[in-house]
Amino acid sequence: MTIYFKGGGLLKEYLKPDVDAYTRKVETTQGKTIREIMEQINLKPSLVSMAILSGKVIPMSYMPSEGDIITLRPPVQGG
Amino acid sequence: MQTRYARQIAIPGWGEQGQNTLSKSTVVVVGAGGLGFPVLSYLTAAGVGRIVLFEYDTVNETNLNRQLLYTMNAIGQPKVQKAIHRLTEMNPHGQMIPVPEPFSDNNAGRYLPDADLIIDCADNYETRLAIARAAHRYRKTMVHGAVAGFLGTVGTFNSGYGPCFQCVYHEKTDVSPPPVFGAMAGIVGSIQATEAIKILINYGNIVYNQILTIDMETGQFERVMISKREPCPVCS
Repeated sequence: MTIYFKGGGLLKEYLKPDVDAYTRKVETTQGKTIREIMEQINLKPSLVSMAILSGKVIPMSYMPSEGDIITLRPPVQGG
Repeated sequence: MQTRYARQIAIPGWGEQGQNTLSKSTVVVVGAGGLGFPVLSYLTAAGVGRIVLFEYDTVNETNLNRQLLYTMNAIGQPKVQKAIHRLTEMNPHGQMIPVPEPFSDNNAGRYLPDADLIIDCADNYETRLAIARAAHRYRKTMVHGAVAGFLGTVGTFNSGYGPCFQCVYHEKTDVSPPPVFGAMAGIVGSIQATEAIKILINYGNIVYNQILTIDMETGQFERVMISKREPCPVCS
């Protein structure tokens, strides 16, 4: 199945977007979690502090469905 | 003195009543850095009666791109002292309480029970967790803010009634030192100050159970829903 990861900021460099400046298309299999799909594309989970789908924060254990567009936020911890 | 606040008193829904409420409010602010500058400045200018400022660091040159309470002359000096001096110049009518210590479980109880809310202007995960624990213990609203590069986050956590900071941020994922520039800290801190004032004078919609994600690279602001994590080490 095909899903999409979107990411900005420091994450862009590691995400290697190929659809537009922020979006990476990923071919994967059903039943994998977000964390596992990130590992599949060599994106370290420690680079991501939050995953967002359809306006909701979702856990890294979430299993995406076909066509899901998941926004990944890098750590935002400065002050 | 009310002449000073005339332009905000004129806002429908704010009025003299709102201004009086502000003048009697106590806000705990943790951090007088990049976020602390706009938060402290706008709360002071708006007439918040009492501000308790936790800040233990000294000024260094790498602060000066965004921590506009300080100048070159302040390098090496305690931030809390310089901040309160500057804020008192800005508005001498409020009470400023300096606490030159790291905010922790051990000192949170000294001021938080009597405060109306706590504002997170910290720059690290451990302090933010301490703020979240204290906010939950004393049932105070926590107005969280954070910034990195062109990204920012603001969240208002209504302790005891909804998800807390740790429900959203389970693990430490700091990038040390976090990259920050002034205008972004200004955007996030200004939104925090605005949310704080809304809470204090009970104005408009206080948006709990959501966080505001800001991406100024693309110019996008998005509210995302958050939910309680069960079990949560802080609020379960």
